[in-house]
Amino acid sequence: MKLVSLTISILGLAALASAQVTLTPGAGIEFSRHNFANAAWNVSKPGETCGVCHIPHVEARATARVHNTLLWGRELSAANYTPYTSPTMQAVMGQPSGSSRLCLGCHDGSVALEMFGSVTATTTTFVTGAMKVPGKDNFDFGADHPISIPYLATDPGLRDKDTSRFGPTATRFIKDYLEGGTIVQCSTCHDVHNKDIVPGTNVLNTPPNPMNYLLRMSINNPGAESELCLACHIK
Amino acid sequence: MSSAPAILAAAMLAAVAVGQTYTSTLAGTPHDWRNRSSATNRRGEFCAVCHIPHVEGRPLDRTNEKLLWSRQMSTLNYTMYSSPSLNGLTSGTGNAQVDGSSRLCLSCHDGTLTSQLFHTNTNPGTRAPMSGSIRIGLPSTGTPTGDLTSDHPFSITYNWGTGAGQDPYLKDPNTLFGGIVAGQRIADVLEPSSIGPKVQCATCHDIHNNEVPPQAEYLLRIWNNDPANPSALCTACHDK
Repeated sequence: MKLVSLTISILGLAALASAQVTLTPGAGIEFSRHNFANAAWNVSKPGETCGVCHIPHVEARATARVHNTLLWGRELSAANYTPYTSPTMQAVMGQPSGSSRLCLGCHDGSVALEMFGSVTATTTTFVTGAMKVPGKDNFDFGADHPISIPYLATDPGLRDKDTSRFGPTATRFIKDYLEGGTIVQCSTCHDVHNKDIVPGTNVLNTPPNPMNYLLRMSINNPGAESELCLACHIK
Repeated sequence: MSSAPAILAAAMLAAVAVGQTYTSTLAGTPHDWRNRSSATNRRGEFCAVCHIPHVEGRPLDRTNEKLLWSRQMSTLNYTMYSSPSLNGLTSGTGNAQVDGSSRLCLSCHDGTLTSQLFHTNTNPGTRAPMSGSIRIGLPSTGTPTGDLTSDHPFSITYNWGTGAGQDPYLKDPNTLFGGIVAGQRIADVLEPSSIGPKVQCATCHDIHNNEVPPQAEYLLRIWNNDPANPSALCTACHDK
């Protein structure tokens, strides 16, 4: 913990010198693509990383915003999604649930990034392109890995969630990254806060690579190719 | 030698002439009540709206709160914050409720009692209880329900660590807090309780405005909007 703090302090000094966000895998949200503290569209909470998504106490704001979990402070998407289906998948995906709805509040591209804090209506800045989920138009999950699905012990293609290792920490298992110990969500593979990622190793190419997608395990480490996928899938 | 008494006398005269005027750090803050409720704060005091030096006739529910508390206490039953990722404990046994100094804050801020209900006053007066953004709990207007599920948890233990049931994303309480007080650690802004040091309202907020940097809002102990150190208050504890 202290080593991490020290690293952050040093990197923090580096960030002071540069207005641009320094992208460092595993160093926390300040050093990730989710650092919007000084983004032009952050008009409600300038100078805050946390405040873009969270609010410590309820403030007057639209009732559509979730109040009762993770202190969420953003407008949520009202989209109706087409779930992913597959003839080989035993679980059935319905509408996105849980923390994935929070992700989709930005990433489905229907709600402007400005829609938190004091901003209640704007149509200025949206997520587009490769960062948009679902990738297909019309909120269709047909081409995206399913989310908000139970991790079924009865599926012979999946590893045992209680005993199979997952993520960068040696003592954690698949179940530790399932919501409530059972549900696959965006956060199963991705760590929004850029903490639960092994610094310097969990990247697509030589570090520091900004496009590491905040994944909890690597997909292209030589000798452990696709280890993220294979951590769950028996292939 | 002969001049020493003269100097001493002059110094004493100067001291008497200049006098000593103490100014509260509350002056000008939202907690500066000197002129806010003149009907009941009849001497225009800073401190007496919350504290009283000796017991005066008042209901039993104003006692036993320590800190020489002089306000009527709320009897609201609170629904505490919970989340799938929260590891802190609100209570060792029984029903979790707000405890410690946060109960004092809620005697005004939960929106059930009027500001006038202090000292010997038993008449709630005409000023309405708190509502809007300064009220803690849902709903922010109308009748308070004690629903704290939308507020950052308080009266919870600072359950840091990497073991089972502990939060690996909290910093070591011996870490410097980062406020304007030199040497102040996270542990120093936690409040002791029977089940370990707890986060309370006073962990983030300094009601008396002694330890609040000039740029900070809401009487926060750390300026949370520094572009060069974003969300510095949140990240003082949260290792995110």
